[in-house]
Amino acid sequence: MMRGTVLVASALIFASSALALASLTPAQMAAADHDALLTVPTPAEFFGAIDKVSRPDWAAFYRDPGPTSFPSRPQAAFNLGVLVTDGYIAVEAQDGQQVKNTGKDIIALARALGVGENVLARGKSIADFADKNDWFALREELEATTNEVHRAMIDQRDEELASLIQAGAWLRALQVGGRAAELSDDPACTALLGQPQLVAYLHERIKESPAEGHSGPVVERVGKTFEQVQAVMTSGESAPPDAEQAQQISAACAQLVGEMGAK
Amino acid sequence: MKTRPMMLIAGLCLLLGAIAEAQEPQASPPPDPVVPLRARLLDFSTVLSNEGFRLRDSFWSGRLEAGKPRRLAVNLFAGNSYWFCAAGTPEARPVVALYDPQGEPVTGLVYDGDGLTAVGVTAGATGRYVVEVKAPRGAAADFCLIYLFK
Repeated sequence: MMRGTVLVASALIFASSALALASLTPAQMAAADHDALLTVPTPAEFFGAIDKVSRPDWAAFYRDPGPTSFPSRPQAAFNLGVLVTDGYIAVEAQDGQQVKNTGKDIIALARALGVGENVLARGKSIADFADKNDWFALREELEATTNEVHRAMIDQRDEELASLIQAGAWLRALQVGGRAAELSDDPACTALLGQPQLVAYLHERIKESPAEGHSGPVVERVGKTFEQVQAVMTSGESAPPDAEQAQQISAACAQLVGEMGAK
Repeated sequence: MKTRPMMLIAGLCLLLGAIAEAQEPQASPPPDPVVPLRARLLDFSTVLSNEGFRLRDSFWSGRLEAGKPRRLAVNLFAGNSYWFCAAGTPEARPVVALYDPQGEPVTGLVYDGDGLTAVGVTAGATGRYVVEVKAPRGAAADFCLIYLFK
């Protein structure tokens, strides 16, 4: 830490001049690389931005405990993503017990998907940080847990399940964020839902997966919601979403999360 | 009669040769050039973590060719603050720039250290941004990029 402080103190920090840089063309912007673990933000970034403009009652967004086993692996993967976002919601609510409960369910579902061993230690860390009310560390631990599962899925050549975990996490985040924005009725809050390109990217990822066969119906149903959400996000052309659109986004996501959470 | 022991000896020599070859230590794989770059970035990020920035649990790396920038799409939220930090070699320190959803360069704080460059911004709008990393001059060089948010 000391070394780092000295590093910054001795370095040159200055305001950059945007004038020195040329703009990127739409083609250059569109051709940018994507990295699933960096291009897709964490729900913590989204919730943190919401918290800056509106102070939602995060505990009001809890779900009733659901099953931790599902008839198909794609459905289980989607629900694992939903659970991860539930963990972030509990962290925002600063509710240690809820974080621990969600952490246990995440491990149980990861086990059902055959990657439980990869995140067992993470489950213990989540419980320890929750006991210490270390919300900062919990957000990082939740992301690290998700990424461990994601990497384990990729190692097992289960890219489709990895994509469904991200889809579940983000559609649950949009359900909650949409509801929070609708309740706040603050344009600065509803504008945070203006992420059609993120939704398009997540949709593209599940479409790229080998969906024919066992994961077909789940991928198809999730894809339909992505289309609905993207249509709402872009319905105001270049204007950011308003409270009505926030409600529509939240409702579409809530319906999917409810359907997928049923055994 | 004499040929049989000779053949046995020759066979034994071949066998021993094969065993020796099998036991020859394998050349260790070349070290991953990104590892020290990432370590330097993680060291740097502790300072920002102390300021309340959270480090994303991943990194983006590759090789920069002179005159060929690399670009990564990132989705940011209005009001959040971000630091994008890239490490290279001191001789080929990468240049980092951020472009907003319209493709316009974003003005922010710039850190220039020994082989490390970082750009700190507060997102003015929600949407898809592009972070660009390029080598200012010279030969191809490896780079590694991380980002933090608050």
